Order: sequence, then structure tokens, then C-alpha cells
Amino acid sequence: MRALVLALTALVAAVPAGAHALADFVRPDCPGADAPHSAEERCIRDVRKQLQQSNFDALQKTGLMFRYMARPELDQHPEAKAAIEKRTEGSFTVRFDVAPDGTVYNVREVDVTAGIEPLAKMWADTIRQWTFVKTGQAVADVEHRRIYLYPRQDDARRRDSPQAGL
Amino acid sequence: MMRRLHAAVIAASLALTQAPAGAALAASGAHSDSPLELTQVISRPKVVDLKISPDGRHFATTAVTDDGKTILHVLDRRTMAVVHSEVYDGPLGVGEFSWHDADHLLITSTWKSELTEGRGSAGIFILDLRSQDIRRVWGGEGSTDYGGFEGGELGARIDDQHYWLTVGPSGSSYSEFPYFYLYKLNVFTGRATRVLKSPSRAASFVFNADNEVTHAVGVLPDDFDSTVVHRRVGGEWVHEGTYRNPQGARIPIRWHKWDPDKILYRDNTDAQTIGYYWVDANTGARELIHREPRVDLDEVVFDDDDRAIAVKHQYDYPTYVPLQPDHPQVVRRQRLVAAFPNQQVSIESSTADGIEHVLRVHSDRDQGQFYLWNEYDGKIRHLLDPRPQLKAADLPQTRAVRFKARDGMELVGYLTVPKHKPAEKLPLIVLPHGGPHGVRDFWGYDMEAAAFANAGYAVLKVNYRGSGGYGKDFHYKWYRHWGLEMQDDLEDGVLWAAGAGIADLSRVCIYGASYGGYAALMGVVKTPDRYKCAIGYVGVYDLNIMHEFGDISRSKAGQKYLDDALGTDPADRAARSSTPHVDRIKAPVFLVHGMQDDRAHYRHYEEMRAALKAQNHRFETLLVPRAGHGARDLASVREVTCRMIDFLDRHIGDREPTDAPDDCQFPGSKKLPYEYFAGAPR
Repeated sequence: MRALVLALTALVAAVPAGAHALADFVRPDCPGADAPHSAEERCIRDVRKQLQQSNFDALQKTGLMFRYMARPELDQHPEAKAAIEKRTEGSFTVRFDVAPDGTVYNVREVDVTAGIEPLAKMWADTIRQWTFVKTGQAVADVEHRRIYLYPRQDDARRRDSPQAGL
Repeated sequence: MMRRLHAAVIAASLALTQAPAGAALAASGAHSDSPLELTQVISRPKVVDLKISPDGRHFATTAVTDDGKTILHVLDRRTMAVVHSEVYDGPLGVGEFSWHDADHLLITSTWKSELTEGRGSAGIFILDLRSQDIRRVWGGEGSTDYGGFEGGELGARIDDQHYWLTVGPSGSSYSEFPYFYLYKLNVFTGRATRVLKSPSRAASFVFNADNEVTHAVGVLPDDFDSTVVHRRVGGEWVHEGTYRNPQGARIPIRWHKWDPDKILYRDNTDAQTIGYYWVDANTGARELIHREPRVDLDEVVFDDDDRAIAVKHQYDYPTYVPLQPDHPQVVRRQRLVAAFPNQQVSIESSTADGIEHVLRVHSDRDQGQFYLWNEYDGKIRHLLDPRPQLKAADLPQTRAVRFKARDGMELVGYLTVPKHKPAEKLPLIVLPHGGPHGVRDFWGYDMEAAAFANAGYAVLKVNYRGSGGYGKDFHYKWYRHWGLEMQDDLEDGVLWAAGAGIADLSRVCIYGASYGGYAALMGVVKTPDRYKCAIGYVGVYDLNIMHEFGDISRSKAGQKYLDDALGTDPADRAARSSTPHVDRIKAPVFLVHGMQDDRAHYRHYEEMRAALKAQNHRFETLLVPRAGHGARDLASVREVTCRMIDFLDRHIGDREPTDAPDDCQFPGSKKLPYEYFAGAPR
């Protein structure tokens, strides 16, 4: 029985993310269209900030030190660019390991919500380019979580400002 | 007109390193106990500025070559290799620069000369890093001494292509306050659309969240010390207030980030120092954010919700006052500062995601090291040492001091003492700052103080009354008090330093530039027995000459300032001038002047020299033929500083007053015209 579970687990890990049934995105509880625009926008800002801080905390626990931190290049990911332009909301986690020489390997996209796959792929590609200062030993399962969330009110000015960065 | 050279070779001098912060600090731990060579102390930083690109892939830096030319390099973060350089030939140099986006840099170029110090604008350019093409997007040529209004100044960014551009008409300068024009500039096409003309002279503009101009803040044409505020209502300017600065002013700064009814004002109409207020745009109701009772605030720090979380001021040392000590942003900053004890930390640039920051860390002994702070991994690493030949530990320390003037007023000063001598009974140089009104000294690295202290002297700089930053009365009430209480404050500083056991009262000289030169010569006129020597550098020696000659006198506003600050009675001005009273001077005098000086007109020097000669007084002179209000080029600065130290050595140092002056000739020296008049000993 234990062997079967392990085999299933291995099989799951080998299947591309796109082959899974993707979870629906559960939108954080931010004020909606009837609230002042600033309230919703500030709530979204705070959600992103909290997630960013959790990423910081996760990495800092490992003691890893960046040698180079790449950022996504949207022009090289047209599908991700289109998802941003369409203001597709969603979230995902990219999990990765770091070898003693500081290179990143075994990059996985997990908990990817429906519609956000191009952005998860773009971030996985980006994180593969990260390099760290040499470590004494390999570090496993570092998590980088992201959320894409937009104010619901129709605001053309802000629509022109895609979330290209972190 | 402009030719661009690719100069990767020059970039080799940029010693960019990637070591943890601790390594750099440890490297500066080894130091010597003997003085440094003068050429080391006055050497200039090779790197002026360092900015990370929005995507974190590049650094852009400006570097200064040995001949004083400012050039720009772009480096690849991964390899630290220079991928692009901007080097202009002739008198052009790189001025300011900023990242427009990950692939484009906006660069202003400036005219460089010994007179203008690169202040004249020579246009705004955009550099495309992908194609390596550079194109001019705003002409705005012109050059002017002392900083004029020519050319355009890029303001806030409007969108992905446009910036606000404030333009002064060609030909305007310090002596004339022009109306300004506001343009909307497309930095990719160079197309500039004129939006409006300022309602008052030399105005700056305030914009709301929708990028509409809402206020203009300017000055009256005939009064430097005025503020004129206009509000824009329905496309028309409505006068909001005209203020005389000595009585205080209410000045709009910016709109609240979230509340469309609130605007931030700076206001000192009802208090001595500047306070910051949120003002309700509909009702005018004011809510005080913060005011320090004894010093103007440098800055109020706001969080993302526009709540004030801290303030910064510099009563003596740079001080950060948390208003919300537990706020995460305050805690974050305190952690950062804790990494650099006794130093100042500022964020110079950041990536667009706000994760990586270039830090500049500076102190009284270090003009600034560059570090990279990555908030993701929480690490700080040393990036660049702009003066690798100098170790901070080898340079003299400066501390803030407070003392009481004879009338009980508390004054702040900065005392620099030699590294290699105990701070007891030292020969002292009093170094009053220029200005005088509205200008002040701060804690930090000062090349002159470092050079003199390195030569064995204690150096005392005093924020005498009339200086800026300590409130309206401290600044304005002492107009027409040149040579009076303003002068006494310097002497009281000397007495404090002697009383504290730091200075030897029998070995004190006074040296200053511009107004500092006035104070130096007035010092030996007013209290002839207090000082053993005086050095005047581009100094004002006769208030009647200042009233009639020089650039300030050539405008209505300048004339009013001179009447206000110097007084209207020629006899009174003469009474507070040194040239008419050289007969009172006992101490040897050294005069240094730029022959093109139009601020402290050359005539001050000529008449003081003639008066000293007529008295058969012992004095020396040094002229800098191509300098205006102070020498700018390194060769002249080196010779001027060497001559001053030589003069000091012969009067309060280890040598004898009758010793022959040193040559002060260096390789590449300009051999500036120097005269020595032995005169009759007094």
C-alpha cells in the first residue's frame, strides 16, 4: 500500500501542471464595487504585501543569499502578457530547490488556479535563472507564492498598469 | 555639437566589488596614525551616483575622470561588465540621470567649466540600451554662472511616455526671476506641448492625482524673501496668498495619496519653525502633522496610506524621530540603520518591485559607500567604494557641539579634530560658512575641515545667528547685523573650544569663503588680539562694494536683499566692513580670490590688497585667474588648500611666521599667481 502511494505521488509529480484539474481562485475578502475605489485598491495592495513578506520570510529562514535575482521579461512570455492584459485573477506557488553551488533546480508550479497558468510558467522560468551564493548544503522546497488581483471597478487608468513586477 | 565616444577602457577604473557588507567595513579597519598626504585628502570620489535599473538587470553610474569630466557607465548586474558608456567631448558632461524603464535612461548633459561647475543645461537625452542609440529630446541650451534658470528641468512622470518639464526662458539667470512655462514632454519623440505659463516668477507646480496642475508657488519679482501661492480653479489662476518669508508662509506641497480633499502644506506663519499640515481643500481646516520647536524639519516620512510615521531633522546630528515606533516601516528602517552604526543611510534607488535598493552610507569620515540591500534575502552587500585610496578610519572625526553665546542663545557647531593628535590644546581654525542667511553647516564629511584637521588643526564650524534651519527669527532677525552679534558668535565658539580644553587660545586663526571671508577679515578687525591670522577666500571685504558691484546688485530683488541684509546707510555699511579698518588689523592676512568672481566682486580683493599695502601690513595673496566664486578644478583646489595650510603652519603651526612659504607645486599644478608682502611686523 505504501509503495502504491509513493508510486502515485511520483506519477503526479511527473505530470505537467496543465494536465491537472485546476483549483478555482478564491478571491481574498476585499471591499467590492460598492466601496470607495481607494479601499479596494489598498486592500489589494496589503494582500500582495503580506504574500511578499511570506516569501521573504520563507527564503530568509534558509539563509540563502542572492547572487542574481532575475525578473520576468513579459515580452518573452506573450501568453502571460495576454493574461495580465485580460486582468486574469489567480494565484500559484512555485517551489524550488537550490544546489550547494547556488543554482536553482527542480522548479515546480503548484496550486495553480484556473487561467493563471501562463503566469505560473513565466515565474517558474524566471526562478530557474536565479542564482545564490554557494551554500554548505542543498536547500529543498523553497516556496515563492504569487497572487494576481485587480480592482473590480472599471478604472481605465489603473488598467494600463499591469502587474509585471513582483 | 555632441560627439559620443564609447570608452569601455575608462570603466576599468570602476572597482565594483561584490562582497558582504562586513568585508568592506573590515577592510577600512586598518589605518595609520600619521597624517595623510594632502592630495589624498582632497581627492574626489570617482563615482558620483549609482542607480539600479527597474528590473534589477543593470546599474548606471556616473564617474568623474581625473580631468573632472563626468561620464556615465551602464553595467550588467550579472557580470559587472560595462555594457555602455556615455562620454562627451569638449565642455559637455553628464549631469543627472534616471531610469525611465528597464531599457531607457534619461540623461541631462551640462556644460562644464571652471567657472560654471557644470550648472548650465545642455539638453535632455534618452538612451536606448537595446539599440545603444541616444537622442536629444529637449534642447534648452545655455550656460550661466551660479545656477540660472535656462534649459528645462524634468519634473514628475505623467505616464509611460510623458513627463512634466519646467522651462525658464533663455537668458534668464540668478539676477532675474522669470516666469516659467510648463510643458508636457514626450521623452521618446521629443515632442513638447506647452501647457501653461506660471502666474508668478520662478514658480514650481503642484499636481493632483489626475495630473492636473492645482497650485503654483513662486516669488515676487523684486523680493527674494517672498512666496506667492496661486490655486488653479476652472482653468484660471486664483491668488491664494503672498507672504514675506520673515513672517512665514503657507506653501502647498502635494495632495494626499488617497483622500482627494486633503493637501499637504508646509507652514511657519504661526510659529518660528516649519510645521507640516494636512489642509482640507474645501474648508481650509488645518491639522498639524508635526513641528519641531527648535529646528525646521527636513522631511516627514509617510507610509503607504499617507500616515506620518516619522520625521527627520538636523538640529545638530541628523536625527530620525519615529512618530509611530512600532510601525513596520519604522522598524524596517531602524534595522537597516543598526547595520551601520554612527553612519547615515539613504536609499538612492530601488527596483520597480521595491525589493532591491542601492544604499549610500556616509559619515563625517566617509563621503559615501554604495551597498545593495535585497529585502528578499535580507542581506546587504558592499557594491562600490568611490574613494578606494582613502580609508575612513584614517580621516579626522567630526562631532556636533552646542554652546552658549554671550547673550545666552544656544548655538550649534561642528568640531573636527586631528586623527593623529589628542584633542587637547590644539591650534584652532574657526571656519564660518558662506551665505550667510538661510545657509547652515551640517554634520558630515567636509573636505576643507578634513584637510585642515589632517594637517593638525582643530576646526570649528558654527551655525551663527542668521544661519538657516533654526526658525524665522534666527534666520531673518539678524539682517543688518553682519559684523555684530553674528561675528560675536564665532568668537564665543572660540572661547567655548578653549574653555573645553580643546583649543589653545593663543593659537587661533579664522578662515572662510564668501561671507566666511567677510567674517574672517572682520574677526581680525573687530577683535585684533583674538586671532593669530586670517584667510579670506573669495571674500566680501566692503559692504559698500557689495551693495554696488556683483551679480546680486544687478536685479531689483537683489537690490532689495542688499538693502535688507546690509542696510541702506553707507556710513553704517562702512562701519561694518573690514577694508576701511585695516589699520586695526594686527594679524597676518592671506587673501585668495577668483579673478572672474562676480558674486564677491574682484574689486573686494583689489581694494583690500591696496589698503593692506598702504598700511605696510604683512599679507599674502593667491589669485585663481579662471575661477569665479571659488576654484573648481582639482589642480587649483590642491594649490589653494596647500597654500592655506602652509600659511596656517607659519602662524599657528609648527613653523615660524618668518619662515619662507612653501612652493605648493604639484605635478600638473597651475602655478597660480602668488604674492608675499613681508610688511612691518606688528
